Amino acid sequence: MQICKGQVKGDYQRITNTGSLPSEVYTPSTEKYYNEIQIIESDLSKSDQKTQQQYYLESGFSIDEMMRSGTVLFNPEYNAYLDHIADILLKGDPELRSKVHFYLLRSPVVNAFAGEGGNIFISMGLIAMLDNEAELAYIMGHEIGHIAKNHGLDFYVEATEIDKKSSNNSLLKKSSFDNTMVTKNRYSQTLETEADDFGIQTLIRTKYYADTTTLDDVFDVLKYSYLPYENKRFPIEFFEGPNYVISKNLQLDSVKRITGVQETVSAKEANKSTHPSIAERRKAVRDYMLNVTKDNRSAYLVSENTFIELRHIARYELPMFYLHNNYFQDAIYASYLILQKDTSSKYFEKIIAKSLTGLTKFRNSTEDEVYAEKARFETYEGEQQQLYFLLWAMNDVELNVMALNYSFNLHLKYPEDQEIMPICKSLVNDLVFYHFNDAHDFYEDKTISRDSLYTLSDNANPKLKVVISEKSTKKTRKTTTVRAKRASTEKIRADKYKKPLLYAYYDYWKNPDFRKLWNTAVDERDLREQNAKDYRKAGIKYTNKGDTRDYFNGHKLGIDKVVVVDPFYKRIDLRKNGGVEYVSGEEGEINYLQILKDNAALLDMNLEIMDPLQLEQNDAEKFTDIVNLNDWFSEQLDFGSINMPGYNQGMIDSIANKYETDYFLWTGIISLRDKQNILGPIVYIALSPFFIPLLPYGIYQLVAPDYEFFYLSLLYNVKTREANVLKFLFLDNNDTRAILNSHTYEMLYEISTKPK
Amino acid sequence: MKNRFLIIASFLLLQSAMFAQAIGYQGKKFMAELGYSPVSNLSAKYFSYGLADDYYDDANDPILFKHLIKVNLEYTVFNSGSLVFRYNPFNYTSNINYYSTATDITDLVGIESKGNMFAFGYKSYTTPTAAPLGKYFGFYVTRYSYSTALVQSEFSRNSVPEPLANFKWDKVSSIGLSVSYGVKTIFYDKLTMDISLEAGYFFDNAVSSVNFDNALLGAEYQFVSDAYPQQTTLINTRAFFFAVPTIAFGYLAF
Repeated sequence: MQICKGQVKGDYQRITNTGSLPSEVYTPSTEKYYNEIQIIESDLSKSDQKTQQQYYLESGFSIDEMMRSGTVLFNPEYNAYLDHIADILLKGDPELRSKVHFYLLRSPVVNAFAGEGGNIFISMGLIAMLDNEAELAYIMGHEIGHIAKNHGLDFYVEATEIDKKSSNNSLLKKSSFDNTMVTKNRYSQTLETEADDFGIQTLIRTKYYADTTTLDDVFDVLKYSYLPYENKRFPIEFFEGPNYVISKNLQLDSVKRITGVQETVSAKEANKSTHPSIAERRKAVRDYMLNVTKDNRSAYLVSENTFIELRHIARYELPMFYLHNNYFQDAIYASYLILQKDTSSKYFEKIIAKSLTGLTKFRNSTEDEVYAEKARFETYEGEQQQLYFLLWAMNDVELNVMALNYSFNLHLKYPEDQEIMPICKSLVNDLVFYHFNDAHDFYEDKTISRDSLYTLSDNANPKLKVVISEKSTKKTRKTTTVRAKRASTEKIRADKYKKPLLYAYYDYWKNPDFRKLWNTAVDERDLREQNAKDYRKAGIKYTNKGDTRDYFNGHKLGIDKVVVVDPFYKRIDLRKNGGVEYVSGEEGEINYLQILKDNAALLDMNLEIMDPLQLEQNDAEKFTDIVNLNDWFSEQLDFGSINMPGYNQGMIDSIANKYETDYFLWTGIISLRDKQNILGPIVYIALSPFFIPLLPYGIYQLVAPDYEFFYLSLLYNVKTREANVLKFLFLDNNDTRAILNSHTYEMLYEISTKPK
Repeated sequence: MKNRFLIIASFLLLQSAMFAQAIGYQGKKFMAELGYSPVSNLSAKYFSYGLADDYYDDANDPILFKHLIKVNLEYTVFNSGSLVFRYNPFNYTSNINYYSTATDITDLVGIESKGNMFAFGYKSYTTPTAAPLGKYFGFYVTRYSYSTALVQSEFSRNSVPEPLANFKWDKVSSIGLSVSYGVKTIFYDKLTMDISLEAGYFFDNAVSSVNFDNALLGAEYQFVSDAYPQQTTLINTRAFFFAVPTIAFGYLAF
């Protein structure tokens, strides 16, 4: 087992934010913005000054928002590592060096980009794909090029100019929006070529490998960026157990060949891209590298160990990134790759169990099939396609059975783990509600041979004719075949092939934990059904939807302590293009924080606010808590009415214990300004001869915007996942302080007041 | 009439007790307001309201304004409503013709009406926010009690004859119903501002059935108009209360 910094003895633990938080997190963006616009040259035209101001406004706020979102990893050790590489790259340019700052992005997407303020972001998805430090150095050099050449501002100004021309110039006006896009993309491609040149020249000046092979490898990363970092066969037997087998009919005869992104593209396609084609970029690099060899150069100038360690962490972080976004197949495959080397990592085995649970729950749910249907196997290349196919072709019953089989096996392996049993419970609840009505479906006495199990499984899963066309990317007839197959799975639920699947639990049924789990689920299901019958008898329309989550309208909850997580306030002026009002939005957020505090004080309520703007430099741990809580919240929103633990529930439970409350509140306001409906003011003015005061009111209405705001507040018990919708209001009012006070007080009153 | 007023008030109080779970604005449920209404016969004129009083039938009549000061007490109930108690004095001066048989002269005498209005009502807030805040519809029952005296008219050079000046009128009262639409907002801390428009109607009072024969004024004097002075007062009040804007400033006390 490899040891890395994101890991503790025995099992992997996610890497967290440590050290000092950068000031962007806790300093209001408005302050930064006012400082930045001071540097705009005063001899520019007013229009140019305005464009530049808008650039600093939009890019500054966007970067800060990203910094606060938790997407950026703050880790002094790895930031220092990137800084060392930057020191080497910019040895001769201390001024430029002082301007650039590097950050790691917690994202599986293969990407790096430069933002305003000299901030450069490199995704962990990209790090996971790289071979060595020299490749990383080239990418960093390329991004430094964007900063050195001030491309961010240049592109913004140019794009604004193109937009202006497209609305003024008659030639462009007649052409479609595409022409504007093409013009912008061409300019963007020019900037990318400049950054490539800068990156190469910078790399050549160092002692890093700067030969064509090294650089070709970097472009290969781009070419295969949509694939996992490794292409390893996935055997469907991976999910089998002593009493559970998977039909070989669910195995693909061959997987789709890896082709990579097309290197050369047509002129038409090129116009759609912001970057030059890979072939063009390779050629440009080769022109520079003609005389550069590997002699006296190295793949590592800072630390090979640190690079390997960082890449290792990046690869270990990927499964949770995928799972958090409900990319279940990706999460399983990435975990599978790790488990090939780290054979008994509970963390990754649990990720597989959680992924199977997520897929099962979404598949079973009739309400939300978005995530269950998202990944179609046809488009995936390489060995991962087998996994995609298996999970796609497997019917819902078997998927549920398999997920429980895998998860309960984990429980037996790690009986002390607190996360596994809730997953099992969730799966059993679905199994007895959707698929098995009879609690005595188990094969308690007779045994079935493995061969017989395969035969039964083959009968349940007839061989599919899968024709994979490598050229056709459009939806063709095979999509129709796919649909037909999905429909046939419905039949599986009721037919004779379903029952034998329960043989998977032959051994588990002797386990008291499993029996209790099953019997409790059956009892709960029957109770829900009885309740549904009672409702129907009483003439109330009610459908038993199984183990779903209800949203309550909280009244007099009597909760002693609540933690408010990252409250938000956005102001949007729909009358303007773009419309986001950054400065007043941030002021609104600060006001809202104060309103929450004031009203909690009036109610003598124990309310803790966790907001990045309230943090200090040393609050990295608290910031990580905010990130984890927000991740949990966004997962729960994705789940909708599906009742399922969060993917990182163990961490959330420990956060709840730390803050000594199970109740966390997510709240925020979106304040809108829209065009006034002219009819109202006209009516007021028309009636004013009859009543004079209507005249000034009518005139005011004519010029004032139409105010609206959306107020959202959701209170969760993060351990039981019970949710209370305290505010879900769309109001036709200006969100004045008085109105916000009123609603906020009412909300906190309902939370804190004990029922009589 | 008094009983009816009490029944309505009791009903509203009972309702309030049943749902005494109101939150109020930041926990403040009780507020006191001081309001101003420039009441006028203007709107009545625009709608060609048929006034029985001769002096307001004439299109050349001036537009009259009265300045009313109102005191409001408001208590939040149900979260989206509030009970309102309101008081304002309503003093009024008009004129009426009388005929002197002795001198064969028709002259004017002023009518001075001194009244008090006590209103009890319910405001239903339409803005989904804790009352008392936001836009609202108000429904009021108003008890208007007044006493009338005959005094010197500003349009008459003759002094009021003694039998008329000495005549003691019964103190009478009337019940009015009104509806208002307004908006109340906080303009500073616990200080509120309320702007509303109210329209109402006062029912005839019992005085119309009083056997009001001219002998009461003595043999020498009699009223020319069919209307009795109290009715004149009431009718004018109706005209004034057709549409009344009010601006009130309040304090959220507890």
